[in-house]
Amino acid sequence: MTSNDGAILRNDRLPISIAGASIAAFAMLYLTADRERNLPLLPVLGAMLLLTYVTNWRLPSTQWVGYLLRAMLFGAICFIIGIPRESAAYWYFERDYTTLGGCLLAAEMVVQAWRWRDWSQPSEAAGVALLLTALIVAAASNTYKHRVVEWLVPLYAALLIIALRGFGTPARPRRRPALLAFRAIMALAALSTGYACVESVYRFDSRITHLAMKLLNRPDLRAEIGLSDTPYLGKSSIPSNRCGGFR
Amino acid sequence: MPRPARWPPLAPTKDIGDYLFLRGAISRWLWRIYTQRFTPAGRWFLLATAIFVVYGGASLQLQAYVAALYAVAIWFVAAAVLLVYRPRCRLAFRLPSRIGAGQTLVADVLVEQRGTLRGADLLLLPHRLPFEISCVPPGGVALPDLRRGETADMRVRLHCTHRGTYTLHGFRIESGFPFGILRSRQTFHQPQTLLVYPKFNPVSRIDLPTARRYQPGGIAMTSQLGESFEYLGNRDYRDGDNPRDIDWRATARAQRPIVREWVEEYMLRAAVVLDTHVPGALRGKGAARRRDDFERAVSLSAAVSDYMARQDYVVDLFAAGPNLYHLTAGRSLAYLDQILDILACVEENPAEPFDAIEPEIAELLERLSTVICVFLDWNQARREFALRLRAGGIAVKIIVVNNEQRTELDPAADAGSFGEIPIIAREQFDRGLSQL
Repeated sequence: MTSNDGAILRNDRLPISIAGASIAAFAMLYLTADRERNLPLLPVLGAMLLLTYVTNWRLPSTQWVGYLLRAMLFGAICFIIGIPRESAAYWYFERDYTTLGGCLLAAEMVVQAWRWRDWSQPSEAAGVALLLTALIVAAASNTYKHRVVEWLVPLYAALLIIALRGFGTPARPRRRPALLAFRAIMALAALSTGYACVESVYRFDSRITHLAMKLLNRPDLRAEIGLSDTPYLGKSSIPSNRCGGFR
Repeated sequence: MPRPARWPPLAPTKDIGDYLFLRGAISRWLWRIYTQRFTPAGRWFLLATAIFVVYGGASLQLQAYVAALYAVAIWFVAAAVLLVYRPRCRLAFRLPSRIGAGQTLVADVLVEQRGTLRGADLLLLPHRLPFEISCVPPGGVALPDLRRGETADMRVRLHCTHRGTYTLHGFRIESGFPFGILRSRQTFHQPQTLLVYPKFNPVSRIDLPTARRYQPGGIAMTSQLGESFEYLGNRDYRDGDNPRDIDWRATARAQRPIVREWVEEYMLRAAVVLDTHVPGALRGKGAARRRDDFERAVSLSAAVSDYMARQDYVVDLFAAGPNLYHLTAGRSLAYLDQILDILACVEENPAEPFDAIEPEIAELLERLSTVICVFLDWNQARREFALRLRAGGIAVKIIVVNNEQRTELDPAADAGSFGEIPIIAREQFDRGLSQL
């Protein structure tokens, strides 16, 4: 396989596992977002991502082509979804902002997939793709729809586990069935642990929140902070103590 | 050479070195954990986990905690396996002790599987390489699937970019099993010193104003060729000896080549003086340029010494870094390797080196035919040093290594005293200097 510049590349396709993780992240964003506003957008982006497996053509390596494509995609996304008008201090918890951000990140993911890259060698390209999917998942998880997240995150995690092993590591010898089975058991153990933790948190949500509130409020500190009508000396370091003065 | 104040490479094979920001024991330990225990995939996943945890930790009403908990569960299982499983192998390897800068050292490593379990995703890689030496490929070499007691011959290549004396710490075998995010490992410490010689192209001709000088009593153990008059004895033939000196009767008796040895009292003896001065006041690009010039001067000194040794000169090499180096070589006294050993480890000197060199060279003044000075600049201090040598009746050849071709004094003005003084720029040096 050769690039537009004639350089020999080993693998110019996004690894299947990362593509799968990306599709899972897109799906999560699609299902958790306001579907009326971005109805065609994420499926189209997903299809564009998968199209990289159909053709060998890739974006020319000149930088301006990438930036032009980004500008077009980002512009189209902003036009379809609309830029949120209300300014928010905590914008990263605002649904409108996180949906828009997630869609922009999904578009960036598509651009990355269409660029000429040797996905088999440097870990950087795969790392950036992984980070993009993580950010999309984070944006998608700004929701109250627990059931959607509960099903799609394990799928995303499973694909991530497969993707992580392929990061720019040297060619490995022939795979052994026993080793594959053992690895699958480990992956299942991780997913089961994750599931158990999620279910526990979901079930004891109110208790954990209450506990956290108690810890954060620190009632033991309240008496020592601010003006008290019955002041007393706590454990404080007074320099005069050292020379045997006030105790 | 001082290291730049930037972060060390993330390559798992590289050591930290003496980087400015990582001097404390804890910071160095943490950096090693980050670069050697986490795989590149693990480092990216760590970043993703941090995003999930920070975002998900804000509220349990939002669902970001779900991804955070799954990510933490993956780390948990990977860490648990790290505690239980680690490679169990035996390694045997030998490394050469000398190599030239720019060359690739090939290490043959014999790996034997010792564990009852067959190895999983095993990689062989050098342990804590210095910054100037790189593993090829950078991530190490994948080991084949080995049963207990089986062995494999592996080949690891180490590319040496800069001259110097380095310590190689040995090798390690590591595994990223099961998820490829954390590494378990077995380390084989076998520290060994590696000398990386300066890179040089042989010079075919140097114009030297020279004459033979009387060497009282000759120099013990020099091999004698042609101009000797007093028979000393016989010895085994060595490479480079003149076949005319072979004693055929002794050769027939001993069944191996034997040559006659002579005491030679007149011979060519030359000193090579290497300028090591990189002023401490220089900073930034100025210092970097001077260091580049210094490295080229070292390479040029190696080329000149090589030429002199090939021309049957006795060569005295003088270089004054923090330590003063003086080695007499050539004509069987010492070999080029030993000159290169010195040139491999000579360091820059923030002070003018001539105060240290001059008394040493003065002792040999009457015996030297020629002094070749490889300078980094042509200024009053160097000019006076050269004039004092010349006043001692020695032919002096000056070579200035200066990429910018800007010297304090004009070398052309001293052409009458020292002949043409060439100023060697980087481009000229890289093309190769066939004659000086």
